[in-house]
Formats: sequence, structure tokens, C-alpha cells
Amino acid sequence: MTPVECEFEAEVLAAVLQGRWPERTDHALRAHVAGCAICSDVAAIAGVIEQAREETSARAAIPDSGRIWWMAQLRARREAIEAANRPMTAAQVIAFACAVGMLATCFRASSAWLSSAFGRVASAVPSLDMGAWLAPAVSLLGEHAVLALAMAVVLFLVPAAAYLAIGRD
Amino acid sequence: MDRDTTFTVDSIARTDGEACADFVIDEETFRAFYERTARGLWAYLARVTGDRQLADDLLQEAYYRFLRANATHETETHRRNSLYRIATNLARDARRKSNIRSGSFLAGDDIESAPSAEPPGAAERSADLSSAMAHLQPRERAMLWLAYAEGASHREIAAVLGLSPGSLKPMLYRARRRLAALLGGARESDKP
Repeated sequence: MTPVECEFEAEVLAAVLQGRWPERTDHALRAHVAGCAICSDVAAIAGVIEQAREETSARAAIPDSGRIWWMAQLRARREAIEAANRPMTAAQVIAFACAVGMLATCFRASSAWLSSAFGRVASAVPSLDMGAWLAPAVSLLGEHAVLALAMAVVLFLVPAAAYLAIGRD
Repeated sequence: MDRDTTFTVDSIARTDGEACADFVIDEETFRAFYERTARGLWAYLARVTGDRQLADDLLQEAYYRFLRANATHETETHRRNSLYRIATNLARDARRKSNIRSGSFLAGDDIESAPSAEPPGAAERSADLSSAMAHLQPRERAMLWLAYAEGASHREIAAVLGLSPGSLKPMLYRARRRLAALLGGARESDKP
């Protein structure tokens, strides 16, 4: 099995990073590196990477620490507000869903009298007798006042709930 | 950023009482930590991603997530490793999102294009390194940089990259071999 580490690796690395490699390093270590693939690789790349680190760090145009702190504060605050609003939005979506469900139930319950109402209107239109048309309508509304009121409320609730739930996001 | 701008930013932060979020770390400690680590972290991100602009963005995001994590750290080394781990994950996510092959992701040209006052020969060596590192996998670049630029131990590198310390050694060995071979090849090709 090929060895993947050498006991002199740290010593070679220290010599390179301290600028002692190879002139100011003892002969024994130089002789070891010459015959050790691991240490020769370390000697070859450590100095180049260290130099690149110094150059790249010197070129870095990093933002001021105060700016980073301030922006983090603002962002954290904004995210906290959004997190606090999340249950409210969920409640609004549920309200919207309930309103739609209620509307569907009302429509299903009233489909029979709606179809009869349309039939009466259709039969009344050719004669253009407003009295014949209005009388059944008023009669129908009187019979199903609660249902009609519920439908009117739903018709107002649905757009309002949709606006609150979707508009804010 | 100059000191005047800093003063303005600080003034706004202090006058806006509502802008105070609860972080485990206080402002003074954070700013001292940032001053100690930001340049090194930016260099790490720039070398791993090969993109200065992306490194700028990831640097700010890394510090923000570090603050938001609200984790307590026993030592400066733990704190630093935590920051580098966050930055490494961000760089990996950015690479996945960019959907660019690893070789082209770290072209290195962007890093070398910045103006600098280097001694003769230094620019060539730096360009050689960038060119050689462009042929390595992102994780290889990260582990080599952490080992030889940041002086991190095997255990620290493994923690930052999410690897087991046992698997790191052979991976680092192979990455080092590849980079040494690539640098050797670049130097051979430079000879007249």
C-alpha cells in the first residue's frame, strides 16, 4: 500500500513557510525530501500556494465590518418580520379556501332553484312583461333570503381574502 | 470602504433602534473576528470558485449565515472552522446552481486579472498555480488551500469539508500529487 503521509511532512512545510527551504535547511532533511515523494510534493506546492495566498489576500477588496454587521441586522429583522407574518398568511389562505368551499356548497344547494329561476326568466323575456319577471324573482329572494345573503357575503369575502393572502406576498 | 462611510453606516445602525437583531455574538467581537478572517476567507472563496464577484457575494452571505446560526464556539479555531464550513457549502451550492463544469468554473483568469504590484516572476508563478488548480476538482482545491494556505490540520480540513479524517489523508495525498505534477509540467513548458 502506498503511504499517504510522512513524518517529516510538517517539518518540510514549516521550512517552506518560514522561508528556510532549501538553502537554510539541514542536509539530512534535504536528502530525505529528495527521496520522498510526499515531502517533495509538499516542498513543491506549499511555497507557491502560500505566495498565492498573500497575493490574493492583498488584492481582496472586502467590505467594512460595520457595513456587514449593519446589513446582517437589517436582513435578520426583515426575515423575522416575514416569519412572524407567515401564520397570518396561512390563516388568510385557509379563509380563502373556506370561502371557496362555501361558495361551491351554496351553488350546489341552490342549483335546483337557480335552474327554475332561469327557466322563469327565459319564459318571461319574450313577453317583456317586467311584472311577470320581477314577481317570481322577489318571491324567490324572499324564500331563500339567507342563502342569497350568504352568497353575497362570499362574493365579497373571496376577493378580499384573495387580495390579503396573495397581494401582501 | 473609507472611515467616513463606516461612521455613517454605524450611525444609522445605532439610531435605528428597531434594527437590532439578536445575535449570540456582539458587534465588537464580530467586527474583530471579521477583521481577522475576512481577507483569508475571501482568498479561499476566490480560489475555490475562481470568480471575484462571486467571492464578494459569498463572503457577505457566509458572514450573515454565520451570525444567523447563533452558535456558540469554544475557541477561535472552532468559530473559524464553522465560518469556513458555511463558506464551503455556499461555494458548492453556487457551483451547482451555475451548472458549469468544474474545470471552467475555476478558470483563474478572473483572479489574475486584478491589478497588483508583484515582483518579477511572481505573476507567472501565480498564473501557473491558477492554471494548475483549474484542472483539479473543487474539493481538491479547497483541501489544498486549507492545508497549505490556511495551515489547517487534517481534522480541521475534514470538519470544514464534511469528510471523515481518515478519508481525508489519501484524498489530500492524491490532490497534492496532481497539483505538484501539474506545476512541474507548467514549469517544464516554460523552459526555453
